[in-house]
Amino acid sequence: MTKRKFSLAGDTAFETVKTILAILIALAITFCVLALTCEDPVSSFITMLTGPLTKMRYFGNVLESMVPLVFSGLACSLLFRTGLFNLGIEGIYYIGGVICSYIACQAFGNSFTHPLVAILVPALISGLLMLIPGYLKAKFNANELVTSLMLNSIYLGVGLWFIKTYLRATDYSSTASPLFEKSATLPYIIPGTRVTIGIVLAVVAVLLIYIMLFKTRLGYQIRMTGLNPKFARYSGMNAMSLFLLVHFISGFLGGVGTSVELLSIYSRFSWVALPGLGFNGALMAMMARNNPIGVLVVAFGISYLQIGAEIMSRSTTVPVEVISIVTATLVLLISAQYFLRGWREKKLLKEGLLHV
Amino acid sequence: MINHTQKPIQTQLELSVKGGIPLEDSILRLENITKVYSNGVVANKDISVDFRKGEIHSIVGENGAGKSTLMKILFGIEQPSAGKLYYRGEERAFHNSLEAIDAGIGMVHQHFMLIPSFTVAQSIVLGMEPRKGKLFLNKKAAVEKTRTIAEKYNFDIDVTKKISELSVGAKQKVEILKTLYRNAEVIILDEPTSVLTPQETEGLFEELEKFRKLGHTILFISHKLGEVKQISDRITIMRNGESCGTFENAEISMEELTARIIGRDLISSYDEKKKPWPEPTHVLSVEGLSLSHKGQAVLSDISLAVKRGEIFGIAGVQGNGQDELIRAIAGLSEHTAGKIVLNGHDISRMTIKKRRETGLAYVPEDRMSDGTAGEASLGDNIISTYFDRPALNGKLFMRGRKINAEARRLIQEYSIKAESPAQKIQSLSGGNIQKVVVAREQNTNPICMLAEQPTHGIDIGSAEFIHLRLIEMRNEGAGLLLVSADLDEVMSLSDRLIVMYDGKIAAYFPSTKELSRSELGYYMLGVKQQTPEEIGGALHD
Repeated sequence: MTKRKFSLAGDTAFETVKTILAILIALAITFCVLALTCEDPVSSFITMLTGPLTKMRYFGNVLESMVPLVFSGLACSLLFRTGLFNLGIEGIYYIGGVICSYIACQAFGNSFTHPLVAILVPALISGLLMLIPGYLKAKFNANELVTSLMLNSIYLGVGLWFIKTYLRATDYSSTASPLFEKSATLPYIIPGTRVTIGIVLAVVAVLLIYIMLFKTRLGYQIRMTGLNPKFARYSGMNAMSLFLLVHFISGFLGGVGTSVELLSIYSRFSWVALPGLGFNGALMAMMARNNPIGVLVVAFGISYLQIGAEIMSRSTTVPVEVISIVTATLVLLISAQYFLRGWREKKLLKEGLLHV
Repeated sequence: MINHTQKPIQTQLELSVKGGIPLEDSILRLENITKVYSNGVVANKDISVDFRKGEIHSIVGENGAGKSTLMKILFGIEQPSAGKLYYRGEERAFHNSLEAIDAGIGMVHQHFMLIPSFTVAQSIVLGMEPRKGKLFLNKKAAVEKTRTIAEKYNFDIDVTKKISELSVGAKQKVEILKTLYRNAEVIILDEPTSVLTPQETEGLFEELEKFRKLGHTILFISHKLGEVKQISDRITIMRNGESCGTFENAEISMEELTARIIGRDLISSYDEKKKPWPEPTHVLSVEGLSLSHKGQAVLSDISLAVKRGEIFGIAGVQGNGQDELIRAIAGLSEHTAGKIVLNGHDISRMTIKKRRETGLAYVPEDRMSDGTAGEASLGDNIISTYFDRPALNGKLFMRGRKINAEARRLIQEYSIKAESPAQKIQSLSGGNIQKVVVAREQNTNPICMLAEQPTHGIDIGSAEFIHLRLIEMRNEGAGLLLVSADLDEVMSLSDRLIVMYDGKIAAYFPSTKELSRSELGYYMLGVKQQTPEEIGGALHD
C-alpha cells in the first residue's frame, strides 16, 4: 500500500479549496454591490468584515445568534445524512417554542430546575412530534418533504390557537404570551453580553452528534443508509427503526434549540409566524455538507456576517439585507457540483500522469 | 458545427461489392488518447489505435482495462482529456453522441436502450422519424423504411411487433438496425454476446460477417476470447488503461492473447481443486416457491436443495426468474407461496438480519446498487454485514483501530488493489469492488452463500480469484447457490445444475461433466423442457 501524496485535487483538500474560493467570490460580489449602491464602499465593506470584533457586545451578538442555527443545522444535517429530506424543524421550532413558553410562564422550581424542565419537556415532545413524519415514511413510504411541510403549517396553527386561547397576555397589545418567570430565563455567562449557557450546550451537542455519527454503531447505520439505502437493507439494517430514531433525535435537537433561544433572548413568546430558524438550519446543513463540526463553523460564519452587516447598516445607508447576497452566493457555489470541476480534472490529469 | 460531407451508405455498398476498398484504408484513428475521470481514475493512458474500413476489430482486456471508456470517447459520450481523434482523415471532436451518430458511428450498448411499449419500427426511427408535413409522424413510411433496411441486411424480424414481446437476441437486432438506419459505417458493439445464448451468438456472428463484406467497420468489445478469435480480423489488447498493441488475428495464438491480457496462464478447469465433503446434508432447501408480481407469475413452483460442500448452479438467460428467486431467499423480496429452510430453520418469514445470523451470505448481482455504498470508504463497506460483531465494538463505540486492522487484513488476503481502508470504494476498479463484496460475505463464515453473477463484468484475474474463493468455501463445507448467465462459469464451477426458463425449472443435471453448451442452450431458450420427474432430482438427490 502506497500513501498518496498530498494534492489540492484530493477529496478533502478540494472541498476546502472550493469553500474558501466560494467565500471569496461571495465577498467580492458583495463588494461590487456596495460599490454600486453606497457612497463609501471601502469603509462600509471593512466595517462589515471587522465590525463584530470591535466590541465585546458585538461579538456576543454573533455567539447568541448562532445558537439556534447550530441546533437546527444539526437536526437537519442528521436527517439529510440519513437520506431524509425533512424540513419539519421549522414547525418544531414553533410548537416547541409554545410548549417551552407555557412552562416558562408557570411559577415553580428554582433557577436550575425551571429552565431544565422548560428545555427538556419541549425537547421530548418535539422528538415525539417528529416521529409522525418518521412513522409515515418508515411505514407507508410517505414523502417526508411533503408531510413535514404540511405539519409545519399545522404546528403553526395549533400553536397560535394555544397561545391565543390559553397563554395570551392580557396586558399586551398584540398576540403574545405573558412575561416568562424570572427563574426560567437563562443567565448571561459573559459579562457585557447576552451570551447564555446556550452556546455551551450548542458546542456540546455538536460534539455529541459528531461522536455519535462517526464512532457508534447507530452513526454507522445512519451513514450507510444515507449513502445507499438499498445497500443498508441488503446488509440487514432495519431502516424503519433507524428512520424513527433519527427523527426523534432530530426533533429533540430542535426542541432544545428553540427553548434555549427563547429562554436566552426573549422575555415573552411573540412569534405569530414561523420563525425561519428551522429553514435556515437546512441551509447550514447544506453548506456544512451535513458535517456536525461544519455546522458549527458555518453557523458562526453566517452569524458573524449577519452581525457585521447590521453594524454596517447602522453607520451607512446600506440596508442589512445585503447579507442575503453573501448567503445566497455561498449556498449556490458550495452546493454546485460542477463548480471548479474542470480545474480539478486538469490537475488530476497532470498528477495522474506523473505518478499512477 | 458539423461540417463535413457524409457519403451515403449506398456508394459504400457499391464500392465494397466491387471489392474497391483497400484493406489498409483507415477510417478511424486515435492518437495518444488519455482520459482522467474527475475522481482521479486514469481510465485511458496514451492510446493510439487505427481502425480500418471493412474489418472486425476486437478490443479485449479485463474489465477496468479501459475498453468501455475508449468506446465512450469514440461515441462522444465522454471527452478525452488529451489526444486526437481522426475520422476519415479529418481531426474531429465529438461533443456528444449525436455528433458521432451524424458522422456515421453507431453503438450498441451492453444494456439495451429500448422502450418496451414501442414497436420495432418506432424504436428504430426514434429521433429521426419520417414525417408528413412538418408536424405529423408518418407511421406507414416508418414501417416501410425499417422493413427495407431489415430486408437489405437479411434480418428476420417483424417490425410491427412490440419490443416487450421480443427475445433478447431480437432486441439486439433492433439495436443494430437502429445504427444502420442512421447510416452507421462504424458500429461499436459493447459485450454483445453477454446476454445471448450460444445459438443467438452464432446468428450475430453471421450478421457481423455480412456487415464486414458490405464495408462496415465493426468494433467488437468482449472479454470472451474464444469468440474474439473466431470473429476478428485484428485484435487490440488493453491492460490497465493502456494499449498493449494491435495484432492480426492470424498471428496471435489464444495462449499469447491470454498471457498479454492478464500476464499469466489461467486454470481452465477447477475439477482438481474440488474436494468432497463427508456429510452432504441439505443446507438450504426451497420447496414450492412461487412469486407473482402484479398478477403475473414470476416464479412458479421452484423446488431445489443445496447440500453442504457443493456448488449448485442456476443457468439461464438473464431475466428468467433467477434474480427474483435469489432475492426471495435473501429476504429482499417477499414470495407468494412456498417454504425456504436454511440449516433446519424455516427462514421464509425472517428478517434479512435474522437470515444472515442463521448462516446466510449473499453476493448480489449489482455490486454498486446493492453490494456497496460507493461514497463510503472501503473500511465501512467491508464490515456492513457484521458491523455489530463484538470484536469490532466496545460498549458504546465502534473500535476504529480494530476495524481498520480487519479491513487491512482482508485487503491483503484478497489482494485488493487499494491505497488504504479510508479510500472511497467507488474509486476502485470493478474487480476490486467485487473482491471487497466477496471478502465481506466470506468473512461471516456462512454455511450457505448465494452468489449471483459473482464475476459479471470484472477482469479475468479477479474472476479466477473469486472462483477459487467460492471453491474454497465449498471445500470447507458450505453450500453455494450460484446464478450465472456465463455458461463457462456455471459449468466449470457447479456440481449440480438447473436451467431456469420463464420462472420455472426447465432442466436439472445431476452432473456437469458430460454436459454440452448447445444442450444447455436448448433449455435456456425454452426449446426443450424436462419432465417433472427429471426436475424433481433438484430437490430429492
